[in-house]
Amino acid sequence: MANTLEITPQEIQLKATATNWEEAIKVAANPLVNSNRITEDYVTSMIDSVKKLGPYIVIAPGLALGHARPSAAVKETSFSIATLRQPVKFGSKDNDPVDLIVILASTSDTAHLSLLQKIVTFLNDSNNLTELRKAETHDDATQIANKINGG
Amino acid sequence: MKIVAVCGLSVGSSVIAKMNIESILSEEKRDDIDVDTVDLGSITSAPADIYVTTRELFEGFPDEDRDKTIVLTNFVDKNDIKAHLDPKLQELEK
Repeated sequence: MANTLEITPQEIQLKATATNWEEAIKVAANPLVNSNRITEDYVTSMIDSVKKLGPYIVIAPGLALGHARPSAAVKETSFSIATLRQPVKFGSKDNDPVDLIVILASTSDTAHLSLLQKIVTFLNDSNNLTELRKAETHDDATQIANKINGG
Repeated sequence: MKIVAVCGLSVGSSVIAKMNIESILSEEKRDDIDVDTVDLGSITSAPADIYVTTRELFEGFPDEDRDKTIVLTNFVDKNDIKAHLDPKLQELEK
């Protein structure tokens, strides 16, 4: 199953609104909470890990990877992506402000790897990052999902 | 040789670092180097020739491991990672 895991346009929110980093994580995780693939507890864990370990989840300029450890709060391994209309600060010395959030939720240490590799390959290309940040419409989200899933 | 990517939980950012470092090493045809991930709390049980981490987590690194650590600000830009990694590899292989 892990190999067939894909991201869908429903999990890609474009130009979302958030006023601070905690809200940004919540908003980005919404599609996964609403479809019962993660519980609210997982969202709380993602926020708590930033509070505990610092804003290290901001792994590139403007890009935060919201995640927590695999746990019972993850019902299904899944990812979501959100771009923000207005960037928010996470407190990262190097990479603030953040306008792109990737949420990673995994049921195990390995269940997410195949789709994560596809997302990483997508993020490796700075043209894709530019395209994602400019994207606005549902059609744009579909194209981005196809590009990620295509590998 | 062994490279260990260190992050807070060892499921997210360090895995991304590992994927990109493996991809760079593969391009450089360096199949003699292994890449692993570990969380910051387990670093003493994961000996390495090179550690890779973020600025925030570097502040919590054991003193004795700091010299062999590369601090990355961008985990998805392979050119940037390569620019940090290659000099460190050369230094170790002198």
